[in-house]
Amino acid sequence: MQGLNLKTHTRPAAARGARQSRWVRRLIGALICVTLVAGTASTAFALDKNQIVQMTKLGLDDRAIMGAIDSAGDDISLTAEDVEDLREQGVSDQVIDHLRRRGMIAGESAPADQAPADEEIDPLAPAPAPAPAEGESDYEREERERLEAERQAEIERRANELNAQREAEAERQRQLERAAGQLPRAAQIVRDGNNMEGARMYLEFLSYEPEQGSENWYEATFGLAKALYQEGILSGASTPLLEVLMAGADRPHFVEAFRMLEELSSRIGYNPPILEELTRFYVGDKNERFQAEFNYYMGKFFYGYNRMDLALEYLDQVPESATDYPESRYLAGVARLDPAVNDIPGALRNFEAAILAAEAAPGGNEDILQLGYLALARVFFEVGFFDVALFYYQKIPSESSRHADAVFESAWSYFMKNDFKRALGTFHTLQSPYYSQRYYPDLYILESTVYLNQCMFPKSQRALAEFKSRYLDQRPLLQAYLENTFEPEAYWQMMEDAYKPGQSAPIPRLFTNAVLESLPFYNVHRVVRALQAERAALNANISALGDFGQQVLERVEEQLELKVQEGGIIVQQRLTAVDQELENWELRSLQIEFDIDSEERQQLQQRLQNPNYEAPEAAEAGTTLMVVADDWQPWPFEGEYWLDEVASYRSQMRTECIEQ
Amino acid sequence: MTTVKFKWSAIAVLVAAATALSASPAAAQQALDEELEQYWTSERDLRVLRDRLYDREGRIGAGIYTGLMSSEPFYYYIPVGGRVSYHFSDQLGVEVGGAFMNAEGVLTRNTQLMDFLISDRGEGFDPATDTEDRFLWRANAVVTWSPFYGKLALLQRKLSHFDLNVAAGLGAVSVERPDITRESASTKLTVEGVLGVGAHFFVTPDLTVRLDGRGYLYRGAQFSHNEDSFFGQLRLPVEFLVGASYHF
Repeated sequence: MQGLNLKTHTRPAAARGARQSRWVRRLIGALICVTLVAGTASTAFALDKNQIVQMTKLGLDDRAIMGAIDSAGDDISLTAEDVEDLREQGVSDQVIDHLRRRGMIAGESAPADQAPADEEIDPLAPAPAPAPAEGESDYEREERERLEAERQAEIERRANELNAQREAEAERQRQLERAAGQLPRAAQIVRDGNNMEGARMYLEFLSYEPEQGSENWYEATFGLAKALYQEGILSGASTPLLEVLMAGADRPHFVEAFRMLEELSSRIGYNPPILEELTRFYVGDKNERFQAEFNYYMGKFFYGYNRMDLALEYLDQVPESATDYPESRYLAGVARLDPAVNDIPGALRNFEAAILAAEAAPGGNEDILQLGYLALARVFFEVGFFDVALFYYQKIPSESSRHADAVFESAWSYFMKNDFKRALGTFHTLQSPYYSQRYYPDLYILESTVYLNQCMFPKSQRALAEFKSRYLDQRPLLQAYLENTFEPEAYWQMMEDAYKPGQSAPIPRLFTNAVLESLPFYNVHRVVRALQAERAALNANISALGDFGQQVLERVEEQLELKVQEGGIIVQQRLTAVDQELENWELRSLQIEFDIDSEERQQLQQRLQNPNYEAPEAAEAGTTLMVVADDWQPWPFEGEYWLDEVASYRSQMRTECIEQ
Repeated sequence: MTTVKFKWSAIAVLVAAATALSASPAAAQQALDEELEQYWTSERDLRVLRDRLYDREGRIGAGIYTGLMSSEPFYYYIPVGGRVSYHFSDQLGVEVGGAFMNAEGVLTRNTQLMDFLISDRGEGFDPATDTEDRFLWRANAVVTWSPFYGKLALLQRKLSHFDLNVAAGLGAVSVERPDITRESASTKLTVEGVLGVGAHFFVTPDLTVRLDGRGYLYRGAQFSHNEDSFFGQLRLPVEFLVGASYHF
């Protein structure tokens, strides 16, 4: 360090010889004079050649002298002779160059790329010192000396600060170089599976603030993201991963980082809007597989933000050979059903393509296969092609969780096409133990309506009674819970507790089951679980991650809280919807009760008018038959539910209506 | 083997009970997760049968049976016996039973070979010392496992439900056994292993008709030709049984 001698400058007059004391006095006097002459409008003070020489001889650091020059403003003007004199007096070339750059040497203009004036304020710039005056009093002299001392102290302080900064910077550079030398080892450690040790090394490197965008910075940021990702700390990985991705598609780890991003989106729903920036990158030079993944991901991304035109643009670019092709076709089909697009034929084509691709996928893609069939069935149901809809509903295997919905919607299809025997058989299926926990209040209303249409009034009333006891009688509990619960967290906790072994929930399980059927709840639940797992992983490794780990942990806690609130709101909304639905179905059941009374009277009247009318034969026993093979071999239902038969029940009952 | 199986089951039950008692928050979360999984999976793990019509879990059964053991060279037997069973579940049960057959001419009858030897050798042939073991009675305890349950149509009119089981256990058998020199015979009690298969037809929810096959593995009589060979002394008589059991 070309540091300052603090003791020398703390009390210059006492420490140096008489000659030097005079110099100092002159300098101070000159400075005071210059300051006074310069006036109070400016904080800068004038400087001349001698003062620069004096500062040099005082041993001031070049940067401090340059700071003083900068602070002096533009009043200084030196000739070539002055410059030569300065050089002879020991003023460094650096200071002379600075004067030249500042345009303070006559005949030499300042460089064009001179920094703006507002950036030239040097931290070493001292407050203007008062100049000595003729015939000053003792008080004035003391005051002048005091100000001088303060000024010197200020110069020293700033010089020390600057030197400390330079030292720190030099130290940082040394540490940075040392840590950079460890990066290949960190990469090997992460490859060996010691993720947290690798993450610690990368974090150490990054803590020395390497130049953003530099090769080492890129390697370390990617390495950190990968280590955290592999350790399951996904939220922690998200920030460095995003930085790596935004560094450009031409960087070496872009593809790998993108695949990690796909996983993050899937597991913790990480889809920040900034990811749209990825579309700026050119990925045409990547292999076909990656391009397909990229297009599918961006398609899903835009679908999630309800931008169907962009979603379709990307999804339609996924080639048939891609692994994600079945998913992309299915998603494109759903996007085309969006009211903004409303392309039903296109959607049907997409669903068919999704099904074909799912069947052809290695090992099959059961999820897309089932979703595709269900989507086709629903579209055909909506447009009134009930037979076609039924064809597709029957494609859902009974082992699938979607089978319940398929059977339930089949019941509606049979009902709509007046196939009451099949409709009743389907109701029987849904009342089997395989589906009895499902929330289908309208099932009983449908059943009651079918019986009413067949003039089976007692059965119709029994279905309504069942609806009442199973759903309506439980409704007050639901209403009381909704009225007394306000916090989203409480709703979430209720769901967490509802299935604890041996614990009773405040509302019947039938209603919490209705929440389980909600896709938004399922999605939020998955994210909450992922965040909880991440929190556990973080807590286990918090010491290795230091401050960074603490920050990530806080972020995870924050996200977890937000997701729990979001989940709680979904639960509340679903339960409120359930309550509203029950109210509507209750009204409908009252209407059916009225219809039963009315129809019963009418039938009685018909019977009185046709005393010789013979009612059709009623079924001998039971309510249903099952079909166990293609040759329609009927077996009477005896009370057992076999999985392979449960979707094949038929009613044998005949209408009891009297023809007019 | 049977003992090991039973111990394993008992440990499993204890572990399950302990797990249920110490349900942790993680277990509670798991309960919700498992429940939710049932709503969002492409392939649920469903039981093939629900609301089984013929239920035996926790029930005690008592029954009688008879049968035929024709695997022995000198005698064939018509055992008559009874048994009591307890069913831990519809699949697993234990059964204790015994059969009596020591009634010569009625439950124990000579085979043609025996008749031939008697008529051919006359007084020089003593059935007690010149033949092998003659069974007097046996008792045993077995574990039954019924992995198969099904139904079938009889003439397209009536459904019949049945299950198929396998059984294994230990028992004791009393025999009249000639000594090694074939100079005298005495009554011996020996241990035997029991292996079996069976079919139970459910006539009513309480009454089953049973068809069973049993094999008994035990160490038979020692003679000069097999006294040095343990495996040469092993015997495996086999019998077929028909019976009925009532479940309380």
